[in-house]
Amino acid sequence: MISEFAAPFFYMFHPFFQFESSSLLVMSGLYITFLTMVIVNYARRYLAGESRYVGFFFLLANFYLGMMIGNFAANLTTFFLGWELVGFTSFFLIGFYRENPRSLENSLVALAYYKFCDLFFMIAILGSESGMGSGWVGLLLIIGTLSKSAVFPFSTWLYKALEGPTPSSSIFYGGLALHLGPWCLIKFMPLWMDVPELRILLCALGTLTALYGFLVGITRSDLKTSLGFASISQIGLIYIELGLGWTNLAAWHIAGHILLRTWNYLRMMSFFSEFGSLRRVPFALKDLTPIFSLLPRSLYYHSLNKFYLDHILRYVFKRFLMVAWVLSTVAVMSSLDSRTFIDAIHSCLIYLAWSILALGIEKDYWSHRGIFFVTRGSFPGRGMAILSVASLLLVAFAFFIHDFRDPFADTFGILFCLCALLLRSGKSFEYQAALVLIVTGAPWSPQFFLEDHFLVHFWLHSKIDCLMLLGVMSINTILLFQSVFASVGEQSEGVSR
Amino acid sequence: MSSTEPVFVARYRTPITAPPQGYATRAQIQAWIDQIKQELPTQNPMPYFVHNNPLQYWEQWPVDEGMPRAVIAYENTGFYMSRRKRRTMEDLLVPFISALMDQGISLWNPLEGSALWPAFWEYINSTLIFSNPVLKRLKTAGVWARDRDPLSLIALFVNERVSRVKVPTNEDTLQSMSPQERYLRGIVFMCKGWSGMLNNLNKNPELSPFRRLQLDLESWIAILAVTEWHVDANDLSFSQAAVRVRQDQVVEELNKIREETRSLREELLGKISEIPPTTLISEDTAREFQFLFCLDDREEAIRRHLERLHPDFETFGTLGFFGVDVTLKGIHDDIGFAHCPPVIQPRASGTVVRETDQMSRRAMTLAYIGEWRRWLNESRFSLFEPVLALLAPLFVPLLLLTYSSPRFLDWLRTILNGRTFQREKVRFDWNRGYSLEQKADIVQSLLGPLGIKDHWARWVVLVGHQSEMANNPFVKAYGCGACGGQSGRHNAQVFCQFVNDPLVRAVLRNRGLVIPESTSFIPAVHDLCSERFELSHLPQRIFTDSERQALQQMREKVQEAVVASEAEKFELFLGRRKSGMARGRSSDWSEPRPEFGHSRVAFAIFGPRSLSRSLNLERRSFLVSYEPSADPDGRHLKYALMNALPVCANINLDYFTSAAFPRAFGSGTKVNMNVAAGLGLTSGTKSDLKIGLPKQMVDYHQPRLLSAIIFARKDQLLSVLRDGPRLAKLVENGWIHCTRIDPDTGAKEEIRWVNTIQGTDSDRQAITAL
Repeated sequence: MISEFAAPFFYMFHPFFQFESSSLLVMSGLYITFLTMVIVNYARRYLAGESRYVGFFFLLANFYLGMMIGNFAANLTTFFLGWELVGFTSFFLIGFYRENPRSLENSLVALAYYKFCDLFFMIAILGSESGMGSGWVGLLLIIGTLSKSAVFPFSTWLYKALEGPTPSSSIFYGGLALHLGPWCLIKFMPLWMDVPELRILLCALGTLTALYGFLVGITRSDLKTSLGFASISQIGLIYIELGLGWTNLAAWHIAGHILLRTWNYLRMMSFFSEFGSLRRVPFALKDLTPIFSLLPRSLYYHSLNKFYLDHILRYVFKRFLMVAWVLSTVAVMSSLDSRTFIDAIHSCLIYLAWSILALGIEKDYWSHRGIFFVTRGSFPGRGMAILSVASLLLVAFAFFIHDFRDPFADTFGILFCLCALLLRSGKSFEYQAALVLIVTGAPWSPQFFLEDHFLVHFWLHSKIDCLMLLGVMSINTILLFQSVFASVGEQSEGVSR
Repeated sequence: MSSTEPVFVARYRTPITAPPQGYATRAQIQAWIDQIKQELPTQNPMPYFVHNNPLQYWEQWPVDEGMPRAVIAYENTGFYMSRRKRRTMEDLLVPFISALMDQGISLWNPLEGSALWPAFWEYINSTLIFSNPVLKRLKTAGVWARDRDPLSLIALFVNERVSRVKVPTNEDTLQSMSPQERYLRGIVFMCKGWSGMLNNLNKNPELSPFRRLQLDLESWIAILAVTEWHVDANDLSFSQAAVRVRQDQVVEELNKIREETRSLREELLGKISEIPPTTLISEDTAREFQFLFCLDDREEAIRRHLERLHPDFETFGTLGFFGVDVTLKGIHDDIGFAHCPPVIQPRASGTVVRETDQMSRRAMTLAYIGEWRRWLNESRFSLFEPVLALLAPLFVPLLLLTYSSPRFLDWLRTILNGRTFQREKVRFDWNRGYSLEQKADIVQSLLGPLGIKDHWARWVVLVGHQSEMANNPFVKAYGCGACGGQSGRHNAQVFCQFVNDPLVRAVLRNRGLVIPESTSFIPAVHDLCSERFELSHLPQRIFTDSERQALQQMREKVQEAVVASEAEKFELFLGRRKSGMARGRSSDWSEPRPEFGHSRVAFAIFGPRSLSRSLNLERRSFLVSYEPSADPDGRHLKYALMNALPVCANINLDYFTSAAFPRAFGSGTKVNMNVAAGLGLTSGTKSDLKIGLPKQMVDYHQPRLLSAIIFARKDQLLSVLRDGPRLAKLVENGWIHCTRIDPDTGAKEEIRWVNTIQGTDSDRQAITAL
């Protein structure tokens, strides 16, 4: 059943994918369009002369597509498609300067964080499809949005993600992508709004996030990092507003904060032009500096070290969570394999594989041990080894689905089916406007083939891994192409029916 | 304490009369560190950026020996940084050193004023371990290491490390060094940006105006050595010496460039010799306008076009600070900046009071708008950030639209500012002024080399230059190099005030420099980025209507030349002939190349304008006016060469190194840069500080060594070169190629040696006639 892996192209024909529209959503769609336009206009000149100029705009276009799908999604499944697209473009843009090893490493860190929470998001989707209790779905959904919005325990990837070009940092981590989480919570409000415990949870997480971002932000001495942590503290405030039920205020806050940060990032380099003529802002926190000296000096060192959050998380991951998480994934998969929405299970596997891979690379296994890394170190047992090798095969599939297989299926497929939907639907003007906005965001480019990000990473660390991966990938390409051509007829019958 | 010490420490504690064989002593290590201090990058913090020669230390060698040495020292550190070492550097040391040197980015910073060595151990001790093995080992080391002298610790670690690890001898030029020295060099150049900045701030405390800093390179090296050891004492990756560039590669590249330089120079000299000798003598016809431009190579085009369009205009080139060495400060600014070449210590200081600083209603409105903008800009610190975020949708879209589309912004500016923008009235309040004699000195030494005897024009226009650009961290690099990266506008204004003063003119008359009563000096400014020419306001001078009209006509004529040179600039660099591009580029936030800086620079011509008037130098040449016939004692030549030639060489070599050897001296791409510690730039959130010029600044540059063509008498030239130690080094070692043209005969000769007494030692003199 390889065709089930075959990407958003076929997902788009699936009855689970539905869009909705309202005047608010069209407004926010226009808003996203405006900001993307500003960034495109900016980056057009700012990136001139860079070697991967076209690739940047391709990724930006896919990001825009993802934002639009997320914005107009009528259900969690559809939203998740956009959510993933945003995540992957973000991942590729962090690693945009692949000659810089830190850039590649940090992109994998961000991916690991994304994937961890995406698992909860997946389970929330499955739960909502299979009639799980609303409270549980809400809880899973909230957990699922945490890491992409850099909420408290999952905050530190954000400043590591600022390795890419400044315009992309501006729109992703200052602007739109960071706020997709709270926007999701607003869109799917009924899932959590009626459960007071969840609202308390949101308030608590928000408070922690705001405090954390504030304390770390005031001690950092470079502009991008301090902007990143300032964004984190605002996200905390937005979560508090959500928890208090002030969703309109939160939506307005999201809109304003996106603009403010985009502004801050884009004008960052004017710092030196104003050096020495920085007249003090009246009533700025700068004037309260004497108050900070009352704080214990050791607190300063702790916040300079980001309160060790990434160390703690790595520790927890390594000892407990990794195993528990893998086991729970297997449990979810085995319990759900009779359900109708079988694709999700495969996706589950893929995301699991992605995460293992990402965490594995993060922990430096790849550099020395090859793919059988788990058989030697601290990991429990041979079963894990088999699982990880199997997951590696799945990762190869994931490559094709999301990056390598063919760009036409990814973008053209969506374009194609949206056009069809647009023509077929006797829906309102708003609905059609929404679809047009989505469609215009999906250009494509042959540069896609060159986004061999992972391959570069492997090549740098272990050439054998890279060759093996290439082998697996080429076998799968043949299989996939066969199956795609075999199943096109089948699928189009499905549409006409 | 002793129980925590590593075993090997005891070996060094026992008093030893003679050090063991092959071990580096403290004195040796101190000598190496002193050596390293000279070789580290000397680039200023970005707010004080001036072009300097990154190879200044290597000028003592001939260029084909010094250049490979420098490139190898910067690129082959003999040290391979493993992944773990790099990550320890980035996670542990960069946040610490950046916080310690910070000039106002972080809000809460109790490290202010702490000394480096104790601050580091406090940082290590206050940090919790959380399964970080490096930190754990460092904490243990801190117990016995923190109270020791950094230098003795360096000795300890360097010797011990080298005794354990086999340091291979490679075929590069570092092979003559002992393993200890190579190791020391390796750990310092592992983060050459931070080390260089630290060393620089230690030497020049005035470069960190917002913070008292107590830094010393010895402590920093000790920190690096201790950390490097404790990442993994058994990590032998240091033995894999990274030879990234070989000597012969550098020499090959250099020879190619020198060959190109030579052919370019010979082409120019050929053109010069075609000029009939009679035209080399300047004519003494009185004109209506004379212009004094900066010697900058970017002003060459406008001078050429001005003379082509209006043959009755005469232009001169001189140092763009017009001899006025002054520190100026805006009335609301925290700090002032020196408006003179960096080698000169400014004698005077003053405050610039703008007309808009008086609280008129318009000024108040502007101040309020400015306040909002500042809140917005600094919103990561503002108490009202949530409020700003809530209000942002009301006005930020307009701002974003404005700044991301420069044409819209330009249109908005013209509407808002009108003409007032062009003539900002200023007043200078002197904190420390000049005496009358000093004023006369300034005027005399500037006007002397021009050789104007009695053909003073009715108007003499002093054109300072500047580059106004938005959102560019390298903004100071585009400014007037002779004004320390600042605008030359105020220097021109001050100079005109001096020279129009009847008292000063009286003093000058006594000294033999007669400027007619009818001659007036007018300050102006040429913005090289937006390509605008404006007359500056001249305090205490009221013009009649006819004067005003004459000046207005002149301004329009110059504007024609500006437009022509702008079109030429874009055709030269971008291959598109289109006027009006410059203004958009200047106000554009997103433009990484607002103008093209000193790209293509290759020549410096010292001589009368008649030497270069008929040539199209294509923005390649510094032009300094010097009239040998008016200079019997060589005083003017000395003034021109001593001040201008080092500036020219610095600019040329800064561009040269960043373009020819970008891995060693360049700073990479601008696109992912970040402002660190308020002093420098890093790529991404934590990396080494960047040195040199970015890719975007030098990608239109053709690297050429500077060829100076000097129209002067031989004895005078040689005595000037001999007096300046740096000039002699530059010329003798071939960093500058120096060609002399004889003012009497027009013969050309190459100057190779200057230290020998002329005419006595014929075989060393090696002056070859061309």
